[in-house]
Amino acid sequence: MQKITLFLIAACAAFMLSSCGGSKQESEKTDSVKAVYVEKTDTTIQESGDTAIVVKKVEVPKVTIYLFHAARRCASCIAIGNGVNEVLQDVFKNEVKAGRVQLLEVDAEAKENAALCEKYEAFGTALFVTRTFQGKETRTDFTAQGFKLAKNKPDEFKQLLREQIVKDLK
Amino acid sequence: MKNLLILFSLLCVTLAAQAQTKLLVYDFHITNRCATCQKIEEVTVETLNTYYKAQIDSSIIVFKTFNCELEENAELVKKYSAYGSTLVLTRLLPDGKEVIVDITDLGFSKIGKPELFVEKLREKIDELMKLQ
Repeated sequence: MQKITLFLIAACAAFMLSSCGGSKQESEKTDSVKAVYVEKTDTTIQESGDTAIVVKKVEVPKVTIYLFHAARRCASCIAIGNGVNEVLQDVFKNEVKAGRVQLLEVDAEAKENAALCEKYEAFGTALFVTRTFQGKETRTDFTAQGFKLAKNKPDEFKQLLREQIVKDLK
Repeated sequence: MKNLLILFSLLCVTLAAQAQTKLLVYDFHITNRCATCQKIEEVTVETLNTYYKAQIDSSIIVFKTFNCELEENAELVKKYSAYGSTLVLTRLLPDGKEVIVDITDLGFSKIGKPELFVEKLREKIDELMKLQ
């Protein structure tokens, strides 16, 4: 009788442990399903032994910040660059890591950037926040805010930029 | 008495000039100005003197520069949020209302192609001058 009782206790413990392990696996699975930036929404089926997992990659908006500058940068232009970098590091570190937010600094005087400058009509210093989603680009000209605020009111500049990026990521 | 009359006439002339001013072109800059900021001012002044000379001479269009870091300009800086380099047009309407158009982005992004900047600046000025 004592042996049977011990066997039952051992069986219950084994069942509970396996249940805990199962739920851990489940949560790991859930954790691995994160919104990642992909070029387009896509569904694939991965087969593993007897099971098939449907993997759905969902496209999410991407934000690219273009900072056009002259070869010789002035104090205001440098302040704009610093402000943008601080916002990305302090607020959007994970999004930058995931490729959802990126900063591209473009020398507007370099020949290789001529096409991009033409596209943005940026022939000097300019700051654009560009949202890309489902093949469409929408851009917000942030040049004025940059020059008006970045040097002498950096916190106001960073706040406006942060709000714009948050809006564009939605 | 004669002096008083002269003073009164001067005051009348000043008030009359102010009353007919239709457009303010304000250029704000920081103390240490960069080449781009100076170029924007230079091309703006050139444009006004070339295409709007009569209006400038009669104070219908008024151009002014301000150092935004000086205390004496604080109120104006606050009004236009011009805490750094800023180029702004203000249309003064007959009913006392103001239409403010910030063209700082035009200045900094187009000045590398001055002819494009001039074209866009003229478009904005002409557009504002047509307002009633």
